[in-house]
Amino acid sequence: MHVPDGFLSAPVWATLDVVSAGVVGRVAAAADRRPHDLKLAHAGFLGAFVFAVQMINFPVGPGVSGHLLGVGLLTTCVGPLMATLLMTAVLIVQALLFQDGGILAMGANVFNMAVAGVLAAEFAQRIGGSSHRKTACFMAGFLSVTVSFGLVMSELAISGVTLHGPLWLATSGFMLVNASAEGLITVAILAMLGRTYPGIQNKLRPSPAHSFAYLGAAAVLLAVVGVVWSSPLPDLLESAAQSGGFAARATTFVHSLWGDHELSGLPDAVWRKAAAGLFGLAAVFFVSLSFARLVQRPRVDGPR
Amino acid sequence: MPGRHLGAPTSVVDAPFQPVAALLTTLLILAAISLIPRSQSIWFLVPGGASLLLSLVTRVSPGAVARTLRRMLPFLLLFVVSLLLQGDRSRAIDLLIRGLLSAWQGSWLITAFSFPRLVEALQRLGIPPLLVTLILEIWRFLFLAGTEASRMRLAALNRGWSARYVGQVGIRRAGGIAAGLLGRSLIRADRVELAMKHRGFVGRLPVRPAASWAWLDYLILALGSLVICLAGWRGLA
Repeated sequence: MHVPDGFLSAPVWATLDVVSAGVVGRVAAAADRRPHDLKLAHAGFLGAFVFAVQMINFPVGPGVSGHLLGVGLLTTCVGPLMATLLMTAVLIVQALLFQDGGILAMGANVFNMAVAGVLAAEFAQRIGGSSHRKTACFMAGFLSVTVSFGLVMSELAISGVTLHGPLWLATSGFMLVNASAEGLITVAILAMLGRTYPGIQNKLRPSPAHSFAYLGAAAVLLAVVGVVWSSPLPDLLESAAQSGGFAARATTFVHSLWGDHELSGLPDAVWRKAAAGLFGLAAVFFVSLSFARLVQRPRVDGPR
Repeated sequence: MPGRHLGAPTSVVDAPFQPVAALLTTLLILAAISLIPRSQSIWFLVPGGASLLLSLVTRVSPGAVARTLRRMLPFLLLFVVSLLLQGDRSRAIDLLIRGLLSAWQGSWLITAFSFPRLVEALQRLGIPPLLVTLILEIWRFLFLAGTEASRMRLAALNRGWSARYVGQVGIRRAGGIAAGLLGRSLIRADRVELAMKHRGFVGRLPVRPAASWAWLDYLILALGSLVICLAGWRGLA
């Protein structure tokens, strides 16, 4: 899962380095403002623990072994903010101590595991909640590995490094087994930890106060980076219109500044798409905010 | 095994220049390797020559570099074989050269400096102080976690568990071992933090003050700049 140097093309690693630096810097600033949530020694030890358990291999197929990634476990234990920082720290240690993962590709690895992986795990935790605790923990482990793997393969494909069909199928199959094992081990660790050291998770996990800012950062990321990588193929309705032969009859009544998800006026297609994504996100945010304020406005009861 | 790897970085003798200069030079050389176009493979000689020169200057042992190269070889070979199976021979060779050169340069950096000096370089380059503290604590606690793991292994062996089953455990047992290690480590972390507070720890680990750059630091940075200008320019042009 750790992408070494030499695999990613310059636009891919440069973009991800910038994006990851921004996200980690923002998260560090947010976490720094409330250091009382988690003891630093606990955080350091959890990071070291994740580092250590990545060395415990388990069989995922004939002649193939996998290892724990630990993103789901960290997110469940310490929450998304500290999990992002700890995973970033683990990735830096791995790169600078063992060269496990590239130095220039650090941004990509941080983005895949410490940002997207943690978001996926946190998503599973939020959906599962406290009523389906075991399922949520399993899904946190499973989703974090699956999302990270999907991003690694996408970034490599964008860089022109693809896997041959059968090899891709085999790798994906092993990844699914690995992700399931990750989920199971996460559940097993948390269950054993809860039995042996009751209350330790409540001691470690802070209250989710910065989730709004975190989700906001994720939305901006998706809007800027996601639209650049979005498929250029027509959607289902456009495809049906083209095959039915009535696509040409479509009429435009209002000419938008960002028609076809591209902001006109910029020279490069990538920047046009990214800018349109950002503008769209800002527009939806302000419309939603205005609507929410309108709905939540307190009623003032005047004199009757 | 963790212990063998962890022992290695502490045994390196720090190279006679600033880690910031070395890190920047490495980044420039890696960027140059990434920017060289596929059709102009001859230009790989420039970053390759620079890496070799740096290795000779700092007397990094080829064995240490080979050990780190071995780590990324399965990943590299998977994609090289895959590209060969797709019939894209030129891309496969290109990926092999880029992967090996990048790994060589990265290996030089991590074998020429001890880990705390590299973290010090990261701090000089502006990574958040909280992240620096976490990195240094992880590095410090790795040794403690290793000690705890050794104790657990010794206890398991004393209970009659065979050493040849190590690494072939089931998922349930792997979870149990990991939970035991985490629980013991966290309890120990409490004691370690208390001891650190008694010694004056206030949430930030101290770092040594920045030393002034010598002519050798400027020289290797100039080498990195030359490489990016010569080789990287081919990709940008």
